[in-house]
Amino acid sequence: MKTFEIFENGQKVKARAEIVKNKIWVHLSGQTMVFDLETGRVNKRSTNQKTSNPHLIMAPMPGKITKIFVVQGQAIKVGDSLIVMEAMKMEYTLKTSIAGKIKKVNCQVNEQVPLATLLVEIED
Amino acid sequence: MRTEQKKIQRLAIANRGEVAVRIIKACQELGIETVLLHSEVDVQSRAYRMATKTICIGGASTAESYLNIRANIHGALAGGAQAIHPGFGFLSENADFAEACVQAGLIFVGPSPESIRALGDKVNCKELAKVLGIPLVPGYEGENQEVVFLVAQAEKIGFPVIVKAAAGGGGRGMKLINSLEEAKELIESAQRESQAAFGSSKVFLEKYLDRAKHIEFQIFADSIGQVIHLMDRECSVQRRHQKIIEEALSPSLTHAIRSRMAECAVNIAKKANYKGAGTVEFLFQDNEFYLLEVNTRLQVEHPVTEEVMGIDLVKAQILTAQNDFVLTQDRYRTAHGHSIECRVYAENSYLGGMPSTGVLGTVSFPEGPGRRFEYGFEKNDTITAHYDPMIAKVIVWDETREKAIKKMQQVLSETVIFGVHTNIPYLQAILSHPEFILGKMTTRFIETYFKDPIKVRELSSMELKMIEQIKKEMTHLKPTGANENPWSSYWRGL
Repeated sequence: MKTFEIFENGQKVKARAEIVKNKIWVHLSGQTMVFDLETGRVNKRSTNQKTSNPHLIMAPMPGKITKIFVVQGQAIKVGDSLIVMEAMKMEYTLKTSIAGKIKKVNCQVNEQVPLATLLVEIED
Repeated sequence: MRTEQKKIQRLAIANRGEVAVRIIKACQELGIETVLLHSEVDVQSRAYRMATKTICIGGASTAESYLNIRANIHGALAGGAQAIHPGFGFLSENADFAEACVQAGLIFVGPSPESIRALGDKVNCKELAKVLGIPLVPGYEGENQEVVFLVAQAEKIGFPVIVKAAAGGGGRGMKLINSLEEAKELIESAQRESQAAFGSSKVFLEKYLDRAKHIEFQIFADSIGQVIHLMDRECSVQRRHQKIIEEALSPSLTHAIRSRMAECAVNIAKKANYKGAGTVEFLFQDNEFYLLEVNTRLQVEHPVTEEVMGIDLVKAQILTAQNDFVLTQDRYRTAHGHSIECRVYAENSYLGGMPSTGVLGTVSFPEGPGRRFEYGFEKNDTITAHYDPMIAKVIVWDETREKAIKKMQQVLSETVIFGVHTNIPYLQAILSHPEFILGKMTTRFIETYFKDPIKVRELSSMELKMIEQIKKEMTHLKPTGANENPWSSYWRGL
């Protein structure tokens, strides 16, 4: 861990930073931030369902698939539950933000999936 | 009815993380050796490094290791232990485990299997409370576990209804049902979570009080059966029924109510022939209280009680198990000052609490008077998706609640955890919320005010300048990962 200090107009700002697994972790003014080492881009959100394609349901975390509510060809409406995942002993339900039809289900119950695995594809 | 003392030479720990560390420290002070019973993947942890002896008892999944009664008993015996401390969660409230310990000739650090059955099973506990005239929340706690039947019962009680694991605690297998439409799915989900976390899918239903506070009483029964209470804790700040911030004492109780609740807590423990540490949880709304459940074990939030009451609960538990702890009159009558605990979870506050896993970089806590840090993982340790996301607890003590809140804010702002995201931004926001500062928070505090992910604070021009400088310098460094040699940075500095 490295410590950084800058002074400006009699004010001092102190920060601590460290590289862990190809990311720069910075602690500054009581807040922790992460940046990609290569691009320097802010990495607060390694996955963000909201900004990604709503037709592709990805695993938002590594974990186990505990229930699948849908099958290929099934019609779905906004807010329908698609998949239940378990990680850190808690269940998370993945829901759809769009209406449509299930194009493909790419996972099975009890399967362990890594982060960002494509689980379900939806078509209009 | 003084029973024979039985000195424990070596104690096995059927748990992991920060509570395992807490138990090891208590044992060190009592001159007791420790055997850590751990899963295959849990070899990079503080408890693993601190224990006298370590024994791998099974695979990563909790069913194979931390919930496996046979494996834990065999491990304890193989490790030459005379006693097992179950910590909290896992097998800590499992009467069959307590019984298996006794049958194997091991001392179970906790109450007897009979007491656990009487109080730990929430359904039996309510029966006992009824007999004693302790107020209860309306609900269904029967044997019929058919989903269709449970949905009908929920409708009869009237929504909102809460579904809970009969064997559980800590928010697992617990769901809030707001309407008939979602009842079936949520009950099934609670049954699955309960099965995965506690090995039993039995659930029960309860009316949801919409502006209640969660207030609990620490009780303790010594070697000769004397039962006292060690005042209360308030744990109203909960998300998904998982506690986040706890404090002692509750800022909400009058002397009269506190006495009445304490009396109920002591009575139910006495009725069940309790032994050791336990917690009687209540919901408190409109100056009325209702028994929620009794936890027949150490609580995660026990440190706040220790801070204000001047007791070491873990040492007291172990001494009681040795039949070597007799309470003297008036020793624990008054609380001193105020204590707050924040649970640090490995999750991303900016993503609404998404679990965050990975290898830890620097973990650094700002030491000082009235500051206590309970943590299970250090630099280079891995936080996996197999277990609970709680990686540390930060506890502060000060003379008043107001001072304790200020101290906690200061401590959190200086706490550095790299490698995984934490809920610290979330904790900081909660601690500055007016309702929390006024002590008016209810169990709906989080869902009311913190529904959305925490927003990232705007950085000042000076801070942005700092970030630019850091990026410039750090990007030029060779990424050596978390295993950076400390000497290399020393030489670079020359």
